[in-house]
Amino acid sequence: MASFVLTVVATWGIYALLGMGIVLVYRTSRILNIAGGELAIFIGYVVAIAIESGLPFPIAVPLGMGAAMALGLAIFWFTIRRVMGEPPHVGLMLTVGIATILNGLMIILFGGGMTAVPAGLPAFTSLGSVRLPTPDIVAAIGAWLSIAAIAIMYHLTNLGLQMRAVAERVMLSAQRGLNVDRTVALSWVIGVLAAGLAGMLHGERSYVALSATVIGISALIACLIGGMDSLKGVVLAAFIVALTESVTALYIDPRYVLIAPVTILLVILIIRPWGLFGTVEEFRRV
Amino acid sequence: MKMKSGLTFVSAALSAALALSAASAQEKVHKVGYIADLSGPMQDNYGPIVEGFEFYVKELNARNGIDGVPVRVAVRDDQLDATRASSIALELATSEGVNSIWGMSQTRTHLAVYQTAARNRIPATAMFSGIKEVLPPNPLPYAYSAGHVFEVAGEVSGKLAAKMLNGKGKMICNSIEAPGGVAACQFAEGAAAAGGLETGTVLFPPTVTEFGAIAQRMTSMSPTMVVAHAGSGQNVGLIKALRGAGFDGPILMGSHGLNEMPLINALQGVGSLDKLQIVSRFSSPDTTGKELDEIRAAAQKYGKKTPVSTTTIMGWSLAKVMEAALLKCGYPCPGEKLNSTLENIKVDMGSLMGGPVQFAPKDHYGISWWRVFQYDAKDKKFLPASEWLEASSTPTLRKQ
Repeated sequence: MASFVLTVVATWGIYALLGMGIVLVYRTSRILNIAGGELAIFIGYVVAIAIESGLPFPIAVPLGMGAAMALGLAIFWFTIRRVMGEPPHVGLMLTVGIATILNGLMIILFGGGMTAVPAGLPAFTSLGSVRLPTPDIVAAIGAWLSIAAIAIMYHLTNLGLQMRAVAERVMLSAQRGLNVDRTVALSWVIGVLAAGLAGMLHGERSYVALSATVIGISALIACLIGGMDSLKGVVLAAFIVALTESVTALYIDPRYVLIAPVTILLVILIIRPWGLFGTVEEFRRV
Repeated sequence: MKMKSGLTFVSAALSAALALSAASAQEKVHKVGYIADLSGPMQDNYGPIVEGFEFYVKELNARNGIDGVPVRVAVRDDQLDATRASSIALELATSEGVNSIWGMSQTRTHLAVYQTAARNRIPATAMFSGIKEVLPPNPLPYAYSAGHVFEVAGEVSGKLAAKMLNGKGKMICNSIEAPGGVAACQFAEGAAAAGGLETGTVLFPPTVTEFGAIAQRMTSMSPTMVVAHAGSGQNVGLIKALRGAGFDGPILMGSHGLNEMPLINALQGVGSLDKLQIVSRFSSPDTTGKELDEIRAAAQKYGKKTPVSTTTIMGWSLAKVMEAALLKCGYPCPGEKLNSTLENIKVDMGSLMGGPVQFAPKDHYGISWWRVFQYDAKDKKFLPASEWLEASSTPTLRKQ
């Protein structure tokens, strides 16, 4: 039972982290980023290759974080900034393009093969008579520390205040002298960093490969269930997704592990199309 | 006079051009097609197989081809898409004018390629994965496989599991919820049960990447041995999760497009690696033999960046079958003639496999030989842990 709880907490953390990145970006730039899985696994590859090249895990991780922030900035600078204010489908299609390009780059730069992010820790940790999977412990701690850091940044710092201001009233923010471009750029940097951290943690507890980009689908489902503009919504919905997947796999039938959360999403979309914590205004805007 | 010499010059030039054109038209070459997933989700499985195939063809052409006729390979990428694979097969058979198709990607693309190839009267031979439609008694026309047909691989894995556990204990099979994966586990369960084992199966969708709860489910079934017929990436996720969930027993993996070193590298620190086993129709790259040495030499010669793996051996082996078929067929070798040749062929595979590749008119797969290779954590090698086990192309031990 303890292993199961840990598995749910770790999976929940990874989906929530990835989903928070998507929501942060959406709130400030009104772009639904569907390249979350690709961004996550791209950074997973960077860290895996760095470790394969001989760098220790504690150095490879900050390197991956730096790469994620640089990638986020590059995406904003070369693409997003040019479509700001355009209809939502333009930004959406842009992220489809980004996902495709990242897929190609993963093949060209990293070979696109299967690898992992080894933390160099044993497979399990014994606490008395309880045996817990160490990768899940690392993933849970890593994910929830990252989530806490993003939440603190968003709610307790000036930068977070600026992001919230841009999210709420972009015109007013600009009139009050806020640098909207810089704020949106920072949201992309943090959003891609969150995705990258999720990718590293997923690679540490499972594997890194092109096929692993599907973790982005689970995170996107969490975003839609929670509400595209709600950080607390995505965290709660990530729990629903992770718990549903894990309960289905352990107690029902693993064959339905992907169908179950999608079924919940469909029900939510029928009853409350803007998600559990999303706002009707945002839904209509999209 | 001037005009006459001008005409002579034009006439000579025309004759030379015609002669060159005729020579070019008559340039002897065997054109073959190769289809694989080179940029899709399983390109890490299929890419190295093409590489092995191309290494062999390069070496073959370097020694003057087949009776002086070089082999040209037109390689195409199907991205695991059956519709795309079918279009490519048509393009290869018509525009490109190949006399055969080799390789192919995941089983879901096979039927489409086989049917297109058959309509255009050229044979198609699969490597790595294979579908039951090549098996006796009524194989599809023009359709062959020299790799792992999942029904056969499943039955072999079940038999070997029963043998290794001396008929005592419980074998849990896992695979993806796809026709090949389901069949592999059905036959593995049937064979293991016939060998005295308790059995069970856990299937999951092909796109699953999170294995914590799945591993806990498998562990709760109290397995003595796990038999894995999933893809290599999923094997990594599953093995990590199984070890974390408390299963320390042997894990026997079907070598379906397996690259050994990336697998082991991805599992560093997981523990109990010496209980990892592979069941394969092909020799481990860590074993010795004339043909295996040739592969290693070719890999070095052509600057292969990654280590030689079973997938490299698969590609090389398939090209060896192709060479034998084209040699027997002679030149010219149109598709229909090559098909007749393949229906009556026996190719000695030396150290690459446990026995020859042999097709017959009513059996487009033939008898196969399978072996277990166990990981030696000290030497970091997969070494033989059983003799070659002969397997019929008509598996019968399916669990109902």
